[in-house]
Amino acid sequence: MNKKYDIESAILKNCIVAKDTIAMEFHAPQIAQNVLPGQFVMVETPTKFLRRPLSVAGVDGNRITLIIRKVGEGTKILTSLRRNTRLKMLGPLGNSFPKIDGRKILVAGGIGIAPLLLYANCFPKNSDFVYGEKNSEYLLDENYLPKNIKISTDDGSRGFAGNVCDLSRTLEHAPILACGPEPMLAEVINIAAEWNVPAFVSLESRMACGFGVCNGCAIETTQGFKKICTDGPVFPAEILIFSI
Amino acid sequence: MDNSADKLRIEIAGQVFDNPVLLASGTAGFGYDIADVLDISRLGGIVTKTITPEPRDGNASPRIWETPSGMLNSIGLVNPGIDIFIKDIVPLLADLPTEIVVSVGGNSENEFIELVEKVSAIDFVNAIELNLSCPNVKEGGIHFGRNPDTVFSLLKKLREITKKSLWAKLSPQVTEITELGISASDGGADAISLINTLPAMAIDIYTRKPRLGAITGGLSGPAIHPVAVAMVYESSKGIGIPIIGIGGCYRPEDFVELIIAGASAVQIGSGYFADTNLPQRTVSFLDSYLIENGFANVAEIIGTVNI
Repeated sequence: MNKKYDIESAILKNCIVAKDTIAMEFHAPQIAQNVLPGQFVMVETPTKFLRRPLSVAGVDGNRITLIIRKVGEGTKILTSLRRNTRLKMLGPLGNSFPKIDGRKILVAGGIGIAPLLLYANCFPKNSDFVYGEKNSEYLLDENYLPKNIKISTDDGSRGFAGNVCDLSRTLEHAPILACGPEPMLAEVINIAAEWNVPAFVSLESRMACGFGVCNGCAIETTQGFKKICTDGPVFPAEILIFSI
Repeated sequence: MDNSADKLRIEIAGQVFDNPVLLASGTAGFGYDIADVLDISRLGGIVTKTITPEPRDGNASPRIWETPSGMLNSIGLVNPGIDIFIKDIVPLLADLPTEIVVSVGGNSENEFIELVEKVSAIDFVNAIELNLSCPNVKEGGIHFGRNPDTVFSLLKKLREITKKSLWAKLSPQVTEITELGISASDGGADAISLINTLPAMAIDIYTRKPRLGAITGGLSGPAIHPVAVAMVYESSKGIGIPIIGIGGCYRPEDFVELIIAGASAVQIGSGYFADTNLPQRTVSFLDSYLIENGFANVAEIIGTVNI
């Protein structure tokens, strides 16, 4: 088992990188030195009882970057925190995306881009990176995106007009790594099946512990119940069942 | 052993614990699951997940929902069943550097008898916690826990078949907790564990759907801590056996509060999800609390509410 660190970490930098979306840098040496692309941290959320699971989006020396979008009460609190706020943080948690040597496609839907940014940074070669948002307001600041990223917006306000799965279909077939909303992931799995390529998708869930003991994030798969926090968050597409 | 170790040591029905800080059933897995998160040798002990006769996959998702100062869960006693537990898991527990209390849950007297017989054969386990109060399974559990006669009769039968220490974990959702505790004690329980989660529910007002797949669940967290304090305080006055306090501890001070209310040991549950260092911080806090307030050991503060 990999050691998990429960540390208190200061927000060193926070900036708005898209509508409702903040990039936060934390001083977190133990996590920065050990995290793998796809892994997450459980982050204290002031005034809330439970921590929030958030994917690590970037590593720079002893710092990690989290990209947080306001979607519920917890993320609303987190995105409003000021620089120098200290938060308890446990990590790195969960498994990681597999390293694929040949060509691959990274498919990101919305804030699901976070773990794939770290992947693209660690394994920059031989990949197409596609990233979709509802509209251009939600697209991350380009300083946070790799140069060759292909963008789609549902309303066509920037890049390819349509969803990120439609954009993916225009690419040469290759194994897929994906993170995003469930309907998108269900479609990614269909694409992988049509192309006859492997796909690995990262799921999210509400979590209480984040380290495998509470069984709160269990999902049913073709191999029985699996815990998103420790069996995942990255799963091979073929074992997942989506009720969409 | 130095003085500090002596000071924190407690005894429950002849079983010695290095300190009174234990992890509650369902929050510590089987102990080895959390070895990469905290140093379990610093704990007084852990209570395993509840073991049932057959394997259980658990309830439909979602299984958790956060509420003000707490959380709902409807996990549903996920566990591999007693036979796989004995065959595959018990060998992994033998060398854990802390006391292991095995939690069991049955749907009938016969099921409890089967479970207690099988767990009694494990030599390094000294205590069995009887889950008489899980709100998340349809039968058994909480139905036993609410009726003083069935609690007495069950404990009496189990007492005859085991020499292990028996802890009866009771629900807070009863009319008279002391009466229930006395029934358990009269039947032969060695200790009472109080409290399990409180039955609770949350609804999304826009979809009008329940927040939990199982519709209702159990409330834990700081919200229920004062309930636990009151239950421990009430029952400790009338029950002649030790009480293990459980409920919403999320700061070291909360543990001390339960001990003062009447608990001989305290279990931490969902509170350490918010800070995995909490159990160890609590042991340190308790040590300095005793020194700073002139107490020689933990026993000196148990049940000492200054009325």
